[in-house]
Amino acid sequence: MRLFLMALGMLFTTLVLLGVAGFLVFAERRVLGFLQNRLGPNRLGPLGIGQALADALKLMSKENFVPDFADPVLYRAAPVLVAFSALASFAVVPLDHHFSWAGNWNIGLLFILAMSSLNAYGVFLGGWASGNKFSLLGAVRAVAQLVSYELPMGLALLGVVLLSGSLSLNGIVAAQNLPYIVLQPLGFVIFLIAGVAETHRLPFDLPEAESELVAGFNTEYGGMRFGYFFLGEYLGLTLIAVLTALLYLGGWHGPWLPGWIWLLIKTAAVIFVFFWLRATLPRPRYDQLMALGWKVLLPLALFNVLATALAAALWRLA
Amino acid sequence: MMIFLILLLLLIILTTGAALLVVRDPMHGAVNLGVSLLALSILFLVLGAPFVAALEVMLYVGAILVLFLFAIMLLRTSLTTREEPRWRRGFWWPAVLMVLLTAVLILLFSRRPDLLVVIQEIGPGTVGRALFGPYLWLTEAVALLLFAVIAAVLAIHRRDDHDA
Repeated sequence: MRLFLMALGMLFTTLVLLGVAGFLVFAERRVLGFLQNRLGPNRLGPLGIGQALADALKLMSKENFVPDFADPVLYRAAPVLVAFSALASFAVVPLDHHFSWAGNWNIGLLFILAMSSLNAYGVFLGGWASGNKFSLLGAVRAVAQLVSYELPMGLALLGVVLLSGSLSLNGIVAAQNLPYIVLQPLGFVIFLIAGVAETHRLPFDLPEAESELVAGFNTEYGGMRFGYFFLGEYLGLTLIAVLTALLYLGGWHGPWLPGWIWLLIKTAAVIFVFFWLRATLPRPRYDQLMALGWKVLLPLALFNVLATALAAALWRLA
Repeated sequence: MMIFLILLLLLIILTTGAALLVVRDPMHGAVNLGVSLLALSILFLVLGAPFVAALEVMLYVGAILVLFLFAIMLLRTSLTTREEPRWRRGFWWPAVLMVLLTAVLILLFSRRPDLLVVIQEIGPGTVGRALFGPYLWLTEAVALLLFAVIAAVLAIHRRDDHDA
């Protein structure tokens, strides 16, 4: 009975997350429309909200086929891996102090980093298995980018872990009397930039830069397999946003309203910043991206860890 | 129940490890290695070492295997040909070693038939205290080694610059 309830709960969580990802696709198109001084999709349903459903139906009703030149097993496995790793990461994300699957897990943050490495596998196996030059180039770019930005991201997280003394997300939020954005401004900026690069969102969408690589690693994908990549991307975006809210913006701490509403508001604000970045910034060249990762963000992140450790040690002495 | 899970994970590790020897495409080999490492990390988790399990995925699957894949990706010669896996000459020595290892394991387990799994969880805090307590000097030695590697990489890179 308990197992059955758990399975039901997991199914429900997954469905909610998929719904959120689908809605975000619509929200992004609408917000981008407004930022570019046009209307965006506004015909289907009130405010055009039915567009999310229409997009999903379109993707699901398209034909699924494996190209002749593709590696059949890996081609099928890659999109599932992307969607799975993004979904599994949410298991350790708490909505409130008492409301999560594994918010108290003492390696929660490490679990998320591990899942993000698996996510990278999905992307570049998909690109490689497609057997297409553009896909392969996109995949190679994705590998290099994800590996380069995972390092500064991990180091930025180290600052938070040093201050809170915990690797579980519940513990980190509970330790924030003051939101860590005040104590870790540098870490916050590094985490956000690395987060944009990890989800390969614009302006760092070089693995799928449509002006050079057609669609990069997902050129040969169509129908629901493309849909999985799409869902994975938007779930990754949601994950980075909710992590930013939990780690740096004080999580569910806030006056008057219940905690989970505060968390949702903060997450939505960060997601809006992601959309805003997409509408504002041009895409850098690939060598500029690599230089930013290795020559700017990594030394800054190391400095951040050092400064945090020193400050924490001095604080304890005083 | 637990013993079945562990045996299943061991089976996955063994099959993917054996598949690594026979698959023809290097990329399939790398994927098999990845699955093997993932199963190993779940095994660590089940046996009560969550910290090591997470590091296994982050470092081995997420960083070291990625380097292999990076090289393999740039080496794919033809984008269209698909070949069937076949038994290769290089397969036999590892196969003999595997049979020997299996024999040793069977002998080992036949002497100690108590397959009761006692699990004591070792969290990240314990690992950290051990690394920076009794094993501090070893940790520092590894740090020194890594520092030397970084210096070597920088030196090689500088020489390339000079040549160009």
